[in-house]
Amino acid sequence: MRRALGSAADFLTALAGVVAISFILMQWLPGDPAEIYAGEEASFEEVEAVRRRMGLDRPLPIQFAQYLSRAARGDLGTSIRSGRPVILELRSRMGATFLLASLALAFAAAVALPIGIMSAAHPRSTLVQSMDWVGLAILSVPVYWLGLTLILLFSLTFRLFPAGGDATIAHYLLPAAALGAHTGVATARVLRSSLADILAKPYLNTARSKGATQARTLWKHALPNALAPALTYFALESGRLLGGAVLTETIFSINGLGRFVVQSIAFRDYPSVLGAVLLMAAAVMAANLAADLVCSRIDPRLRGL
Amino acid sequence: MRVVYFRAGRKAAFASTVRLLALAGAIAIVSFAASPRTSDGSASPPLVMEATRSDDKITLRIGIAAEPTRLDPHDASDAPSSMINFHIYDRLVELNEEMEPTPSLATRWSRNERGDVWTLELRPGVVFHDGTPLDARTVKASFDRLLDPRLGLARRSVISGFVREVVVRDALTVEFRLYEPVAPFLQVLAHDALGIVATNGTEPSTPAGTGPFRLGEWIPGTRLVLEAFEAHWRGAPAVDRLVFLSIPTASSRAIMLETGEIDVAFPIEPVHVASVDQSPEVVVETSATQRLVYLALNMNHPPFNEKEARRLASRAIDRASIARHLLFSLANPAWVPIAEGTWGYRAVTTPFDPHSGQSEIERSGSNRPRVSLWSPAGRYPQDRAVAQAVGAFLELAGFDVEIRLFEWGAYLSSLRQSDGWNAAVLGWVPSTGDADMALRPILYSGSRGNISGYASPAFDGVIDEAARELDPDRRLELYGKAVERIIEDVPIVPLYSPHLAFGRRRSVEGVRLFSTETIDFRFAHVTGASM
Repeated sequence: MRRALGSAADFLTALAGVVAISFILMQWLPGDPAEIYAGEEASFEEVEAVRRRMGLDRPLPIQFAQYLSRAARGDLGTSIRSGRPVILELRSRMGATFLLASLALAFAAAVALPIGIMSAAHPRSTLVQSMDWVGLAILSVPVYWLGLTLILLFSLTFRLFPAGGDATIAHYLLPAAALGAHTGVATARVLRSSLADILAKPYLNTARSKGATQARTLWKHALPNALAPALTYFALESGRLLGGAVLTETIFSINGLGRFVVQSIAFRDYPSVLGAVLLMAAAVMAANLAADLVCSRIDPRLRGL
Repeated sequence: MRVVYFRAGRKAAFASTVRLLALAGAIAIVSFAASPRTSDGSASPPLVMEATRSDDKITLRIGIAAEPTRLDPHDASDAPSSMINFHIYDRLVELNEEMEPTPSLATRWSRNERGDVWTLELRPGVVFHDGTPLDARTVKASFDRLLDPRLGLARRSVISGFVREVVVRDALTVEFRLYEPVAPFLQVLAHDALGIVATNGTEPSTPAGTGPFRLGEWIPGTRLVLEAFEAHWRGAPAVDRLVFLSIPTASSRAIMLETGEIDVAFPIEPVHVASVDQSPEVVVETSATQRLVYLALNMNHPPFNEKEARRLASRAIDRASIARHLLFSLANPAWVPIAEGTWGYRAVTTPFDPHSGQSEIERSGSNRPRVSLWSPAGRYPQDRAVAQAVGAFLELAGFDVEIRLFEWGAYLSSLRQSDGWNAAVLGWVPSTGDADMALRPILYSGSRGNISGYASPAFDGVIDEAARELDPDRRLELYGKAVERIIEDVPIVPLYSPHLAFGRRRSVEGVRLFSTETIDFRFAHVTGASM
């Protein structure tokens, strides 16, 4: 119970830190939401009128304190850009991003497990070595390039998948592949090296000498021990996935949190940026917490930590 | 060490992969179900449907670059919102392609001798989307709302400088009393921001105008649906539904038009025009615009506090080759501060001479004057490349140029707050199509858009006089004088007017693109060929 309270307190402190840093960064950025809102045609007086209306004429520490006290009560404020509550803006977009990220993670897992295991088991086979080159190519290519290539190939040339939008699950398949490919290949490499290490350990010789089949040795004795580092890496990647979602959502016209953050930053819409960062930070922390729990189930040595 | 697979091993691998996939799939389905979908449940259209006809409704799917922010014409200053609002709200007056006022909600107009009282007669039998009839009182209420300083609406300054009072003369007659005579007042009334809004108890979230389309559904960021307004005074539009989808990446927009996922893509970037136009099912239409992309010169600091240096810069820049090579001829080179197509334009070309400048600077014997050239990146088509070309031309003329690129959100306020720049790439489009709107906001002393710091009482006097002058011929003469002053003083170097392009499926017709950058779907229709 005390541990749970302790980690909840850690969680909240980390979130408050994230909000404070984002707030300072946003203020540090040149640009003025009142000016952007009023537009190029407005006169100086109009810009000032808009600034007053938005409460942006108040001193920064007061704006920040007001934001924190409202956020603590669950009110993330109103979007400067649209005038709608930030909570509503986030709610209408988080589904798309979490769906994209889950599909990308599923794709990555589907890539990482078989490839990681196979390449540890058969490091010298031609298939594994050629896959290595493909993997290296994917790791070296930025996600937007991969996305555009997938669109050209599977949407324009073969007309198999839609090129953009988020109306059906089919719209998510190409972006999930583009987003998950990097994570999949990278995780496969982590899994391969940890599995190869373990396969060389003496305790597996013991298992083999006791008559365990090769399959049993691999699946029962080696894999569970090799999985923990891969899983931890996988969870850390969830943060990178949210970053990659910014680009993937823009290229594939998916209305998710990533694109929302980009639009909001361009507009200097502070409340929206802070709200979205808060949500994404919470999601990344939750993913890492979940990975810790799973790891401690797989590996009893981690339970006491 | 070599580990060999046995059958059981393969099965186990398969089973664990399946379990993991099933788990991820379950998460995916749950989060998909949790995300909000359309309210009518008629979502999930087929993957790729060759445009336009489903459930007996003619639908136009339009891919746009950025999503609208607010459906309140009085409070939205971004282009996507203006485009949507153009279809929801009628204005009193519209402009035709020659930038002349034509009737819309007002059918007839007259002014007093002095030109400071304008009387407009309203069209009878017009109703708002919520059923309220349009009359002089509702028109006055709409203008009073915009003019109310306590509301602080973003577009107040469109008329606050002109209109002293709006008066109801009778049920269908309104009178605008102005502070002083305004010759292009009807052009001002045609401004996109002056849509007539039903104000009695209507929040901006449930917008009601009198336009040919009314708001159907809006999932911010995903799509915005406008439905035909059957009771519109012009009759119901030929298309039942306009679906605006925000597709921020230009190349994705072009590809989705080719695959038929959308029927119209706006805009098509200059780099894509040629390749998209090759597709047999797609037509690209381009229109010259009144936007002027120009170089503002900082008159408060050396070297451009000297008139000779500014003239040298203007002579050194080869606009024609910028327009031809960097914008693929999708731009008109510009030498005057009023774009071609704007009322008051006059053709003037100044010769480009790269060598004259060099010798002048060498003759003066000083070190090469340093120029910090600022430009936005990603705001105007090819803006980075244009900034580099301008920099290179200035180098040829003997300046020592350093280029700084900015994200748009930071650009204007950085220019206003900093003294570190000497030349800045900027753009301006006069939304009334009139010379006054082309010149005053960017060149009048003390205007917010006058970044150069130009302050010429002579120039201010001429355009003030022109704004009051009711005789068109005399007005043209005055703008000729104003333009001569700018060519003489060179506070800005006009560079070019970009063309704007949209792409449409061959079956979509009647979409109009105006030189004010407004795209008009009110008269769009779909031919039977591909349905």
